[in-house]
Parts: sequence; C-alpha cells; structure tokens
Amino acid sequence: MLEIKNLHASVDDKAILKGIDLTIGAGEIHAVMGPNGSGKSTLGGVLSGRPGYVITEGSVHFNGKDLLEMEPEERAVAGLFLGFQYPVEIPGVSNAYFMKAAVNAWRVARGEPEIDAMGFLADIRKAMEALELPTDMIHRGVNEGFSGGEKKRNEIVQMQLLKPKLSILDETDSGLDIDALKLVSNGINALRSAERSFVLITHYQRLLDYVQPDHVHVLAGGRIVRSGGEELARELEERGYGWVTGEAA
Amino acid sequence: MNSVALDTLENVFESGAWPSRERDWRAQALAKLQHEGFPTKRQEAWKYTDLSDLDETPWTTATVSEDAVPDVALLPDTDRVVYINGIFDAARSNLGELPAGVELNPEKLTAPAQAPVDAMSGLNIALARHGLYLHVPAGVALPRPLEILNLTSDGAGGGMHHVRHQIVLEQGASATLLDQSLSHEAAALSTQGWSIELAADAALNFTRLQDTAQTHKAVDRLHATVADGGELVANLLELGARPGRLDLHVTLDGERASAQVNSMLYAIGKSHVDHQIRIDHRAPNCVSRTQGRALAQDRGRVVLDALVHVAKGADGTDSEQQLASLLLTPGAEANVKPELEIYADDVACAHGSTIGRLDDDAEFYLRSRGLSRDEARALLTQSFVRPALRQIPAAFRATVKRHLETRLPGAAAMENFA
Ligand SMILES: Nc1ncnc2c1ncn2[C@@H]1O[C@H](COP(=O)(O)OP(=O)(O)OP(=O)(O)O)[C@@H](O)[C@H]1O
Ligand SMILES: [Mg+2]
Repeated sequence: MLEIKNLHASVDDKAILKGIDLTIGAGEIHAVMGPNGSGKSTLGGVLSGRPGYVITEGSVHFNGKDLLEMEPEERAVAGLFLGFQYPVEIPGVSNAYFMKAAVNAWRVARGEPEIDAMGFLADIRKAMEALELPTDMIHRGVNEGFSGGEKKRNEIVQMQLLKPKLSILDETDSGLDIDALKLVSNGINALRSAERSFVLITHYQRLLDYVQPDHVHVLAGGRIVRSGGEELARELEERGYGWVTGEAA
Repeated sequence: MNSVALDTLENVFESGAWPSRERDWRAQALAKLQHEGFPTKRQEAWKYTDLSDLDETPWTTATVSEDAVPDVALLPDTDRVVYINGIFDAARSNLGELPAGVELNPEKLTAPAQAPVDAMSGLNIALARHGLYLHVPAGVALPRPLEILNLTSDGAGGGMHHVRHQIVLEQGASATLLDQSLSHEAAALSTQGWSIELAADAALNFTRLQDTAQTHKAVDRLHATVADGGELVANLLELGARPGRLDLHVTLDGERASAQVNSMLYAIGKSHVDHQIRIDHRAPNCVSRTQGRALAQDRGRVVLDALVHVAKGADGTDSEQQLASLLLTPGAEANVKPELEIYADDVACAHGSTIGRLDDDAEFYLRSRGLSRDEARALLTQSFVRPALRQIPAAFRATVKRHLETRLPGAAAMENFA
C-alpha cells in the first residue's frame, strides 16, 4: 500500500525527517509514537502534500504511484486521508457543502456518478450520529466554533464518508474525553478491512487498547529508532522514550 | 486649462438641442465641470482613481445604432427599463401593469434637487438626456422587481453617455430595484446619477451591478435621503471598468431611519474599481451598517473609502462598519479606509478593516479532502465575500452569481454562494 524509502524532508533548510523507511501493507495498522517535535506531523504533512516541505532525498510510493509527484487533492482522491492534529476552522464554508464536494471528488476519481443530495445528507447524518455530534453542525461552517474534541470527531466523520484506503490519523485521540475516545475507536474499527490501512500517530497507549496495531514505531529526531509489536507501546507507556531514543543516540 | 475634452464638450453641449426650460440648470452644471476640470489625483477623493486621461479624449456623444449590445440574461417576472448609450430603448424594455398612482417614466428628467457636487456630476447633469423617474405613492409596494439596464453598445467607442434617475418612495411605499451596467469592448465613458428619496417608513432594496469592460469608464453617483423609519438596503457590486467608480451618499434624515450598505468590489485583470461611501446620521436613533468586501487579483486595484458621520444631535446612533480586503495574487492592490466622525453623544459605533490573503492552511485542508486548488480558492473567496451578498434579493441572485462565476475559477463551488 505505502512504501517510504529513505525519506528526508526539511523546512526552511532545517532537516526534520532524516531517513524514514516504512512499509505499510494492505489491511495493516501501524502506530507511530515519539516525543514532541520528533517529526510525526511532518511525516503526515509530507505524505499528504502539505506545501512548505522540501524533500531532499528518498521516495514514497502509494499503491505503485509516486506519491511525491502528486498534488494534495490527487493523493486524496487516490485514497489517502490525513486526520489533522489541528483541524482548520473555515467559517463561511458549510460542512455539508465541503464534504459533499469532497465525496464527489472521490467518486468522480473512481469513475462513479456524483452522489445525490438526499443520499449524501443521509450518510453524513448517520456518520455524525455515530460520533454523537449534533446534526445541526452539518450546516455550520467547517469546524467553526467546534470544541477541540468535536473537531477531532469531525475528522472521523470525514474519514467515514470518504472511506480512504490509507488513513493517517495525527493525534486524533488527543483532547478526547473517555467516551469520545471509544466513539473514535469504534469509527476506526468500523472501517478496518483487509484493503484499508491506518497510521495512528499517538502519544497514548489508551487508543491502542481499543484499536490494536499490528506494528508500533518510535520516531525520534526524524528517524524511526525502533519498531515492534503492540507490546512496544506498553513498554513506552511504562518507561518513557529515554531508553529508546538514548539507545539510538 | 488645456483640455481637448473640455473644448469638445462645449460643442457637444451646444449641439444638444435641449428644451429651453432645461437650459439653465444644464448650463450651470457644465460650468461646474469647466470650472473644476476633470478630477485629478491631487484631490483627496480621487487620490487613487485617475481620470486625468479624460482630458485628452475629444469625447463625442455615443449614439444609438444597430450595433451589438451586451447579452443580458433577462429575468422572468420583472419590469425592465433599458437604456442603450444613455437613450431609452422602448423595444427592449418591458413594463407590466403597475398599481394605480405609480408614476414610472423612463424618459423624464426633472431639474436636479441640488447643484452638482463635483465636476463629474456636473457632466452627468449637463448631458444626461434620459433617466428613470419613479414615484411610488404612500403605502404602495411595487408588485415586481424593477430592472434598469444601462448598456453600452459596441460602436460607442470614443463616445460617452449619461443617464440620471430619480426615485421617490412616499410614506410606507416599497420597491426592489436592480441596476445593471454592461458593455462589450467599447472604450466609452458613462455616468449615471441617482437621486433617491425615501419618505417615512418607505423601504427600498437597491442592487447595483457594474460589470463593464476594462476599456470602459463608469463614473456614477447615488444620493439617498431616508426619513423617519425608512429603510434603505444598497447592494453595490463593482466588478468591471477602469475605473468603475461609485460615490454613494446616504443621509439618514429622520428618527430611526436605517441604511445597510453592502459593497463588493472585485478588480481582475487591469480593472480598477472604487467605492466612496458616506453615511450621514443627522437624526437620533438611526441605524447604519456597512459591509465592504474588496477583492483584487492580477493587476487589479480596489479602493474603498467608507465614512460614517454622526452629526451633533444624532444621539442614540447605532452604526457598524466592517471592511475587509483580500489580495488574490501578487501585484494586486487594495486601499481600504474606514472613517468615523462623531459629534453626538450616546452613540454605538464600531468600525474596522482587515487586509488579507487566502488562508494557506484552510486551502490545504480543503485540498487534502480532494477539492482542487481552484475549487478550494473559490470556496474560500466565496466565504470571504458572502457577508456583502446576504441582502441581495432572491430574484437577482442567479444574475449576480453568473457575474461572479466568470471571475472565480472552480465556479461550481459557487453553488450556494450566499
Ligand atoms: N513550518 C515549520 N517551520 C519551522 N520548523 C518547523 C516547521 N514545521 C515543523 N517544524 C519543526 O519540525 C520539528 C518536528 O515537528 P512536528 O510537528 O513534525 O513534530 P511532532 O512529532 O508532530 O510533535 P508533536 O508530538 O508535538 O505533535 C519541530 O522541531 C518543529 O518545530
Ligand atoms: Mg504533531
């Protein structure tokens, strides 16, 4: 599904990613953990095509296509979704309009007809109800005035509607109350299938109790310094990062 | 003063064959223009808008011929008054039955209520031959929106034309007007003068859409007075011309009168658009709202000056002014200036202006969900202008949308533009 080789990226001449190698197979769930400032969001940004990064070395292939050559919207409709660590508020653009446009962009890219308005409204209502978001938010501005937790839940609503092949969720669990964490986890689990993969960027073991990862990676100083199974997350929870990052240094 | 234009204007005026009862005020208006000359950048009100090249053109009066006029998508169920090169065109107009007592005369010019306030209104008053006279008696609502089309034909290059309208709504009367100025490529000059009087509790929704070619010069002026409890809504869309200029002066003259001015300017290519808005609070407890949205891209330039003046004694004034500009590409320019002058007590006045660019984070967020760059930018631009479009009547929305779409790539995103 995704093949990252020796990826180096910098911002304003400052190297941030310093040689990432990561392969994600179809149906796999990978957790990426690591200290603040280690480059996790940068990795998500580079993969989704956020402007401002310079790729200095390496390659990324997404289902055989050179991802780094594609525009952000091309990556999206090819099936890649980024759940933002800080979802953006866009007053004046309604959630409903935005998401319908997005859903249709994905459908058109798959050669499907555009969704009809009624069908779309039914879908978005269902997804919002599942995440216990008030459905009147459908007609509010995108994330406008949403609480931190509501914004995160709204990311999952979007993921539900788009049904991506690869979802990179950047700290979607941060800022969620305990009940919301369960709703978000259910949302992720509901999409799990042999064709869909996930990258869960997180600081907390708790999410991984609900969504069992196949692999856990520790990103530190722009490199993956350790990879393991589920048990690695538990060990990090107990011991902190010192022992892995120290080991790497 | 050495002006080719002023010399030829004298001849144009003399050959006008004006009715003798009009000669006096026309001659006075021309004298005002001759005395002041065309505006120059040295005048504060014309600091950013240059009309000095008017001086060099031997202007003639644009005449009506069989040449092409701009396509207009005609609205269903409206009354329509059409002017081509400043002359009423009965064939293209459409006037249905109106309630008893309504006087609507597309060719009637009355003596101006006041002497010309500047050179360009002098030009307008001196040379306007036709114009709409609308008088709606007390308590009467115009049954349909009224469209005024001010068209410049293809063959009007080097010519100028003028119309002057007078609208009077008596007590409790109401009307909805759509004024459109359109042209093809002709390098012409047009002026339009509006005098609007709203008596007590009268209500007018006035929408102006100026979308002439970048070779066109449109220099228009609108004066409105609003008496007790009267309500003026003015939606002003300045999209074309170089320059496209409108001076709007609203006087709130009776208690609880209100004015809502929504100004949207969008300069694209080489166009230059300019709104000078002045709202005078002259009576207590009046309300004014100004929403200005100025957009510029390419080499386009927008100017928006909005002044609220609260006179002594206009206590209890409630006024808000919100101006914002957005530069869509490097090279574009915006000059936006809010102004507030308060000489009364107990007033609530808020004003502010912002200048910005499209939010990169918002653009990326939209694109990361699959919207194209153009769609994302169109959506964001749309959300920026929306506050200035809210009060456009339903009957005109499709028309306004069509004009905005030609400027915004990813136009499909305009589906729910307001
Ligand atoms: N636009 C930028 N300009 C300058 N430095 C940047 C920029 N973006 C990221 N960085 C730097 O790159 C490093 C990695 O940032 P990144 O956001 O990827 O960290 P992270 O692992 O996601 O951290 P956190 O756990 O706090 O979310 C940080 O030192 C950050 O300051
Ligand atoms: Mg981060």
